[in-house]
Amino acid sequence: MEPPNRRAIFRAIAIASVSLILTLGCTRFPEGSSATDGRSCIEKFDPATDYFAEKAKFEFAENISVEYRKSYKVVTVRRPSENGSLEHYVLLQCGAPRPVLTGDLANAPIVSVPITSMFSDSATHMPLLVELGHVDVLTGINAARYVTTEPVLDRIRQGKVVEYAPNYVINPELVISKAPSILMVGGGTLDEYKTIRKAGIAIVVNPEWEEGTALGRAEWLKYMALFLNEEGKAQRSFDVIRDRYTALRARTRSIPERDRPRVMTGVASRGMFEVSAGASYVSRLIADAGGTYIWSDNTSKGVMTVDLEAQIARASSADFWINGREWKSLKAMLAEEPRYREFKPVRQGSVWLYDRLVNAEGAYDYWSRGVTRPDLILADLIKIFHPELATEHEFVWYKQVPAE
Amino acid sequence: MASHHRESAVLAALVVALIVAFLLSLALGSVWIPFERVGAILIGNGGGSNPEYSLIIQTVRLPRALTALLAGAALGIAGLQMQTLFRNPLADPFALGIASGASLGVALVVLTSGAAAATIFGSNLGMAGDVWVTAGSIAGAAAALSVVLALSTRVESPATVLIVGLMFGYAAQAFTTVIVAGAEPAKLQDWVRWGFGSFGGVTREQLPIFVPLILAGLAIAAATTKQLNALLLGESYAGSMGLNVRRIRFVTMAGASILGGVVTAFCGPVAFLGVAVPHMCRGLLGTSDHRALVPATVLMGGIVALLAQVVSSSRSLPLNAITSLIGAPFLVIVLMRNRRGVFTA
Repeated sequence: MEPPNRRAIFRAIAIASVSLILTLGCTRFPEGSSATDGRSCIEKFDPATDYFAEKAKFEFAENISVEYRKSYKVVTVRRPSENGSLEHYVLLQCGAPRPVLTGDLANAPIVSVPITSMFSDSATHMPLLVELGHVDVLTGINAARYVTTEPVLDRIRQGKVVEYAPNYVINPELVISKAPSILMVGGGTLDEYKTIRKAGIAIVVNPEWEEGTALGRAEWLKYMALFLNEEGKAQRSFDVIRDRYTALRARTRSIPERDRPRVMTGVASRGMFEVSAGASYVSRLIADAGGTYIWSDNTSKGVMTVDLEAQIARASSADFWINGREWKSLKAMLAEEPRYREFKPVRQGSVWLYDRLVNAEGAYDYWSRGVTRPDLILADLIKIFHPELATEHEFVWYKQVPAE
Repeated sequence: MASHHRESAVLAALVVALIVAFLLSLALGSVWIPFERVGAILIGNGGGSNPEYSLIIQTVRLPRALTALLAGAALGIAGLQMQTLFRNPLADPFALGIASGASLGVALVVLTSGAAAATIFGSNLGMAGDVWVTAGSIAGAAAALSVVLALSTRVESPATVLIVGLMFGYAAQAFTTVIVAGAEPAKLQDWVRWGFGSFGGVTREQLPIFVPLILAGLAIAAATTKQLNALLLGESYAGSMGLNVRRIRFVTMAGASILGGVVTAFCGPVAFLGVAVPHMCRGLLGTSDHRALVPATVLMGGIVALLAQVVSSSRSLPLNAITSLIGAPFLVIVLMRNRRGVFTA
């Protein structure tokens, strides 16, 4: 427990920084724009006005919900990390008075929206900013070397983005001194950010990778939009993707079980195997593309580690192997781990990786655009498993690993 | 004479226990394979209706059990050699910086971007990659030992030498951490898993490198039991017996760094075995005579490593956690029962 005077000081600093952000935020937008378009600050507050004309609805993402309360939104992330407890954030329209918050919300971070600056600890947040047209809010990232998204790389080259943990060690003073509107983290690392959170910086989690479906994962675009008041834009973007995805999925719906190829994933590492878990979005993508994932009866999310022998028992007779490491050839795979030979996809050459598009620095386009474009991933996978069902589609990311 | 009986009885019991542990390691794993099927596969009758059973036994369990057996024996012997050489019951490949030096060597090879890394990840040189990792590990281990050795010729106190070894170890760890901090995430995953320790990463194709090196290291220990006994009585005494102390020190250190370096390269820094196994054997045998200690340590090292491997793979827990968890209580019991002290003549 902290002594009360210290807590009071922190609170004062927090309020001071929020009001500073409010002031900065307000000055960014020209006068004369309407009060309910969400992009400008409220000049004359009216408690009866609904300041959020466009509202986000989550259809597929299971881990997130939002409730609109006229001048602020209450965002809830149910499972911020594997064992983390529920997180609430209060997103307050800039210029609105601070609401009286009780219960669970009493200690929730308050973020003035639209945010004007942002730090991030994951390269997967970058395509969301690009899609919403707000790369300009990004002012800090953990380490520049993980970024693969071109517009963000440009911004980094211009020196507009600071690195706050270039070698895994977080520099809290840098973060606190730059006072971003939010620091978005990928989840699972919340403990590391305790000090920064206590200093009044709003830490918000984005565990998009924990979603059980690719559409659910892509829907986290709307989560980013909540902070930017871009719900409408996100919804329109997402709807297009969703419709394309469901149309593609319909093509494989009627394929009977016996015609669905058995699919494995992963990389061996010192007698173990890192694979996509059974309830991961990858597992779901395989099913939607007309395949059967060999671990589909498993109920974990994200990735999991299994014993090499368990993987052999399940996968030695698989038909396809998707996703792995940057193998240049089957020969290189076998040089790395000779036991890959025990898997049928390696013997018959049906190993596919998403390395068709790689930038000059060797970064995978799949990891940036793939987050928001599950429809393209699905189309690639259908073309691998059932080429006759996707004749018009040109591969975007996936490529067959050559023999030599 | 009674002690000779005891030694023979203990060695015989250890041989039986080793065979049992080896068979257990083949029979148990995360996939349940009926015992009769395991037996059939071992005598060459195949997996019957489950072809993957024989794949699992032949490509996963057999190399893993062989690796565990030899790695355990190697770490035990390296620990024994160090304890005798420095006449310090706490000495082992870790305490003297050998394992840390080996880790640094591996980190340099695995994690630094550049030619060496390219040979290992994503090249078609194949086995050359393992050779590089092994060479890096042995070089690191040898560098650590030569520093400690060079100092030990100038400093009288074994405790000082041990402290220098520890300090070298910390310095090597610090360099390793710096390299790790700058490494790419994809390579780090391998590194982290390597650090957990594992006997499952050695494939049948790698055994032709692993086995001869370990056997060579063990042979050095087996051929020098008399000299080690003399060293135990003090270097001046050993010198007065006409022993070339400098040479036996060098040979023993070289043997220990090959054993420690090779095991660390292939299995990661496996904790605890090196320091504990020699004590277990001294306690069981009631003697510090290396003619009995060396074979007992080989057998006991193999047993402990195999049992740790069985528990580790059936529970999917890191090996390093298991070696200490099952080894430590056993060591304490042995030491408590043996009131005469750790080095008994």
